[in-house]
Amino acid sequence: MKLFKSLPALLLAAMTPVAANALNIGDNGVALHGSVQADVLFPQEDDAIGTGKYDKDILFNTYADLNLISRYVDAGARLEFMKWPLPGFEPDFKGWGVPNIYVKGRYKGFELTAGDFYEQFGSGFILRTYQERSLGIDNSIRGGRLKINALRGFNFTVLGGLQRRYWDWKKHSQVYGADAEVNISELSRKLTDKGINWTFGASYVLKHEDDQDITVAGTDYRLNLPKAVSAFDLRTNFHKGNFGVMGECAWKSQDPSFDNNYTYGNGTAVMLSGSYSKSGLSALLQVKRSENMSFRSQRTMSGTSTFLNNMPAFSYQHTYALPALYPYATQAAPGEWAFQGAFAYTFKRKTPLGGRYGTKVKVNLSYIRGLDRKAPTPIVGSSIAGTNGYSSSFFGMGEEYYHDFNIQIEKKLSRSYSLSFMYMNQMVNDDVLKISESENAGNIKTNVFVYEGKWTIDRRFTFRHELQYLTSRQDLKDWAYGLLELSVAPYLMFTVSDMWNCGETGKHYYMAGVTGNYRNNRLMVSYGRTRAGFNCSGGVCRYVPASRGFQVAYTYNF
Amino acid sequence: MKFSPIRYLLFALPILGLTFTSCDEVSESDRLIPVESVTPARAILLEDFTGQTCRNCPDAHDVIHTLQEQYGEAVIAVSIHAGAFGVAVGSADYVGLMQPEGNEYDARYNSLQSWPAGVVNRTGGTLNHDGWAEAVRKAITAEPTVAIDLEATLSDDGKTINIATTLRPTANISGKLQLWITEDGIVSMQRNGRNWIADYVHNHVYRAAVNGTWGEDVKLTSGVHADYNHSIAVRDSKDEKWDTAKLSVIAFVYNESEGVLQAARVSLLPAGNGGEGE
Repeated sequence: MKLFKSLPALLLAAMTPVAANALNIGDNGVALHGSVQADVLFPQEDDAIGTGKYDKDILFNTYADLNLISRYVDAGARLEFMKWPLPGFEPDFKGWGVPNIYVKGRYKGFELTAGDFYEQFGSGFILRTYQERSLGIDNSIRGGRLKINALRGFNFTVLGGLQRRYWDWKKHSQVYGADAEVNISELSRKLTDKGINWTFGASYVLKHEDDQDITVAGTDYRLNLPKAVSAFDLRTNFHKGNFGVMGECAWKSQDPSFDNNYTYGNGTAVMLSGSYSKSGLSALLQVKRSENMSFRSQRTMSGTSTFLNNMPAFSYQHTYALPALYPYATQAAPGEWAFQGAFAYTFKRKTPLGGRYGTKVKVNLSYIRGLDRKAPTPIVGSSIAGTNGYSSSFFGMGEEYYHDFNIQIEKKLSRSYSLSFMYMNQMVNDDVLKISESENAGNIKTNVFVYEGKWTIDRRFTFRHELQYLTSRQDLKDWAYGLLELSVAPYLMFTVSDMWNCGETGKHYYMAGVTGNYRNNRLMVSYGRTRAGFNCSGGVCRYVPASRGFQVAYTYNF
Repeated sequence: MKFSPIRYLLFALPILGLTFTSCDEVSESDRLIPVESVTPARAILLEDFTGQTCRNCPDAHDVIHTLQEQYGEAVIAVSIHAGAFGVAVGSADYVGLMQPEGNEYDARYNSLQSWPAGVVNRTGGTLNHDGWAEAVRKAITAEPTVAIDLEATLSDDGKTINIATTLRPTANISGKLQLWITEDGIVSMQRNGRNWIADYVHNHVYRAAVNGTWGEDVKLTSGVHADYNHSIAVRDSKDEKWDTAKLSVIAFVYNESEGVLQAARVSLLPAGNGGEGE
């Protein structure tokens, strides 16, 4: 059976951890940390849910990190094994090797990194490199970085290198960046005395990419592509007492790419955020406008790789199953106006609304619209390549892309029982977001009701249960979801759930699993069906095809 | 607030750096660089992986149309419906265009696994449609090492397509000969952006492989002609009905190392007529 051929890799994937004590050589200030993560699927074909065909009996993604930490020098490496990856990742995701290796030295406020590293400037408008394993994203930079915080109130970063795209680091495209941030409050006693924390930041990113032949179809012209693309970012963050205000803006120079149909318009982004927080009360209001801010290290790329930046998500990241059925993915290239408000209040205990133990209420609203865009006139042929691209007035808004209003109530009814209730009203413009597989889904409108209860039976046993219902007249219409979870402290948890498309197909997506925790180990084994859908994190989504089979997820941290 | 020299320098560095950063701005009048017109020396095969529920695929169809206007018969395009956006024959209440072999070709040649995507002469990797024009331009001037004479006629009863192929190599070639049936003018559903177009006209749609999914082995000697005869039944069922007036036969010779060495297309002629294509 093919499984036996995979055994060496499996052994690597589930390598027996060395006892933690042997790895922490604490006396001379050196410590070894690391982790192992393996996600395994033993797939079964299921025509009823459209899993497709598999040519392997086992599919898995495995990561193994090792980091040596000391007073002056850190070093680390990560082994990744995705030769037979889980379904739904881009084809070039497949492979294995050591794609992350670094050495970092620090001395008196200076830190120098050589190798692979992640970095973010501000909110990520012009630079955000990160790893998100569930999405198959790892856009780290391989090169060098210098961070200076030797001076009080001042942080400075400069970096340069090649960006990772799966198992490739294209030499024809280089990335450089610099970031400076000053905390005025650390430089001014007056501000500190008034309880003010105030920072200013400025960032710059340069992408230099070799010329390429991009011919305008049907013509005898090729594009004169700018080899250097620059992006600037300015930001400020002000906090006083319970109040906070944050503002950020970014600008990108001409960056003709596949994302923007090889047009030459500039990219812009601006964001304003205000917050208030004190014990028992918090409020957040924020607004963002972005246009043509898809910024990649390779201009001809599509998909989820090679992004240099990441526009912050302005939609609530749901963790319950049915509210997460129709997620929103940030529209970086065409642009958007996005508004988000969040309010939380705790009614104190022993008050009429608070009850005996207190009641927490959270309200969230996300509202996102496109820009009011006007198409350009082609310069040659019928293509808009070479033009300045779509134009829009600053305050002009196009059609609605998404809204999500939800209210959540968390309440403890007794010493042993607490509940959460959520209602959500959502609209998803499927013509833009391309989530549904149905024809003519149009605007998908949903109302979702969620009930979660948690019963602490005794010191050892906790019983959690969820009931969810989604009602809609579009796409696959109504869904129901139920989950039962029994935790047996301190080691075990048993879960059984079912997601039922009662409105259209009648299909059940059942799942049963057991999770064990022992010291630094966590092992989850489950069996069931997973529906096709989108896995989203931070406004970036990956399509996950339907699957069925045994799943094993193992993590170990030391 | 006191500024020390070092603090001042470090604060000023980014600002100074900004003044020297490069911004490669290209004015409107300089964005298009003329390139030399090319005269086709051979035909190229452009395999367009597409689907009826694929919102951006009509953009790729437009690119094909533009390239065919520019280079004429030298651009032989085949739209292979496949993948997540394909609609299998007989699976919908409108005409579905995805054949089983389409997914085999897609799995082998569409390394992007996104749609639309295309391959030119089965070399140079899978390209988004913005890269097709340049790939075609580069490929179309290469001198071919084999010429293809192609003739396709319909039998008297209209149920069989008879194909006569002559290969005239100018070098020794080891590879495969592939024969496909394509059809133009199929009116069926197509997604275009946010719209569904019920009467979209699909052209150069892959319909069938005549001599096996991957063709048949050929070993050609320079200067020695090789003749091949094939036939295929016209499909006429509830789910798939070919319009013989709009069928074409595509022939191409390819191998793994060099890709497609030459391609040819000929329209199917009614019974009693002969024709040649190159």
